[in-house]
Amino acid sequence: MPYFLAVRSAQALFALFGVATLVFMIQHLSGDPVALMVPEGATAEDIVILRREFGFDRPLGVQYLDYLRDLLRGDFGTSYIQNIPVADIVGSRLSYTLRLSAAALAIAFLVGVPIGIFAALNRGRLVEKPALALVLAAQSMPTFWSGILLILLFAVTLDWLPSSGAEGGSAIILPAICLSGLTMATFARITRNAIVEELGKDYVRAAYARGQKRLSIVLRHVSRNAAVPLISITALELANMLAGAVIVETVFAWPGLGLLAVQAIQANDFLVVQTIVLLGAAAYIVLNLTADILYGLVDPRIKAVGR
Amino acid sequence: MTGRSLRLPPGAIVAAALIFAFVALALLAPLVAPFDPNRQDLFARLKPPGTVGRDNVYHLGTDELGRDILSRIIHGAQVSLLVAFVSVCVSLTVGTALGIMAGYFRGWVEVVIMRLADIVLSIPALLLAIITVIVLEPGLLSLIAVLGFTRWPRYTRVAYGQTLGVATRPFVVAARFHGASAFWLMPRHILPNILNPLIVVATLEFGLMILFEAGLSFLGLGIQPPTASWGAMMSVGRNYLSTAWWIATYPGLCLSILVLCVNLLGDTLRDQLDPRSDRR
Repeated sequence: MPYFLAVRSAQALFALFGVATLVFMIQHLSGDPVALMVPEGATAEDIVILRREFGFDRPLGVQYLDYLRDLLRGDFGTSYIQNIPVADIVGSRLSYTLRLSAAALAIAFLVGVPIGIFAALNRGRLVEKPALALVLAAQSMPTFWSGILLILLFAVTLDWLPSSGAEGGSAIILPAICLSGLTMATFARITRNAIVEELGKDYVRAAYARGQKRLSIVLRHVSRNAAVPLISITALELANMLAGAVIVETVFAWPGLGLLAVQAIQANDFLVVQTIVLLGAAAYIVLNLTADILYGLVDPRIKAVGR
Repeated sequence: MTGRSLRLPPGAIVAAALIFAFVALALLAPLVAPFDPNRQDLFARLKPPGTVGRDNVYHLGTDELGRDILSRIIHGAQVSLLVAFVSVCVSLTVGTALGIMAGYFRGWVEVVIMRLADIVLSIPALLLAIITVIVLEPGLLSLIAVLGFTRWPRYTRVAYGQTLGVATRPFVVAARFHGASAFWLMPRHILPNILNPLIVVATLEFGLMILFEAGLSFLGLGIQPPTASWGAMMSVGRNYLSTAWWIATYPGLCLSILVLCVNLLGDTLRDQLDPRSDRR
């Protein structure tokens, strides 16, 4: 286990470094990063001045080392458009995205797992079909389409919930449902397959032989073993949600990082976009690492040596 | 797959037929669309479905500029399918070539390619696409470039794993001992033997690429107006939900149906082509 931990952590660190490098390369792909950071209509003199101010006139290697050093110190630069440190801008929105993701994760878990259990216990029967259809629909619907349907039904037609913004406690409900769809489907699928697999094992037959009822077998024995894949997939799903939030937040005008990224794109505020991408990738890498570690912790049989 | 024919369940046949219908509509768009997709009629703004216009019926209504939704959906299918198809071709080719090389040569080639694949995969795909599109300027070409560039590792990982298994098989080793060079061997002996799982990945990726194109266009980073694209139509329609629900709803419906069909077909192909997939 310690060896596995060390190898995986080293891989994660390398990936973080690689992501930072990749973003730096993309930034310089267009030849002139200054053009990405000034408002439209900036004059040629402004650009020359800014190029010097940002240090884009120095050798690329020096810029790269500077960039890495700043990142390590948690300095993401200052937005030229808003004249505020990028870290402050991003920080003010972070809690919205975290809250939205947490709510969506809770919904996905509370809906997806029971559906998965239900489908597994009724495998192959007719009553399983609607459950599977719901899972397939949740999986195939793009969030910007399901979001629009949710708004049409609950905000426009029924007028029960607000369609956008973050005012009041009920505003989070629709975006959270929308964001939870894909994860709900994943939870349902994983739960179903895990339980189906466990039900075929010897210990279940032994429990039947001892005269235990099916429901008690599932709840007492099967659920513990079936939870193994679920636990590690949760971290992965959370990572996917943080990325999916970009579109969901845009649909519902939820003021989190995703909406901030879209607003920054429109305002030509490249440093903000870059920071959100870096944070998103970092969260993704860390959560992936967490998933692997959790997997090793809950299932002692796994002694993976890297991938 | 030798000698074993594909047996498609009825659901997959329906899915394939619907995909075919979308492709036909896209190819014949100028012929079947009742209106020019960019023709504006400011007297027919935000008309509900079924409204009778001056010279034709607006079957699915009109948008905020009085353009026919049905015609724009049909032309939008062109964009959707073109972007998805070309970007899948690009990433499939690049990713497979890299994966085979990594699995065949091993050593430093393997390390460089596979670590690079890890890095690209560790950035959420949508975020990577967003930042790259901004730098390249939004548009059709950069959309294809970005999607091709961000998705190749998916194929590389599969091709790499498969190649590891094939490269040590007797017929490959025999060919090598007979003096076959690596670049003669890889396309002739390795590629045909690892193709099936790659086709499965490509099908599922095709659905994902349709969603990505629509998602990026929804965010304003994909196809630029006035070209019709489903994502962009939905983004405009989002602002008119309370007065003109049809603008966003119909393109979204088409998008969902198309992606659902592609996914159904992909799942079926996986069951049929990939011997190791579980068929529970």
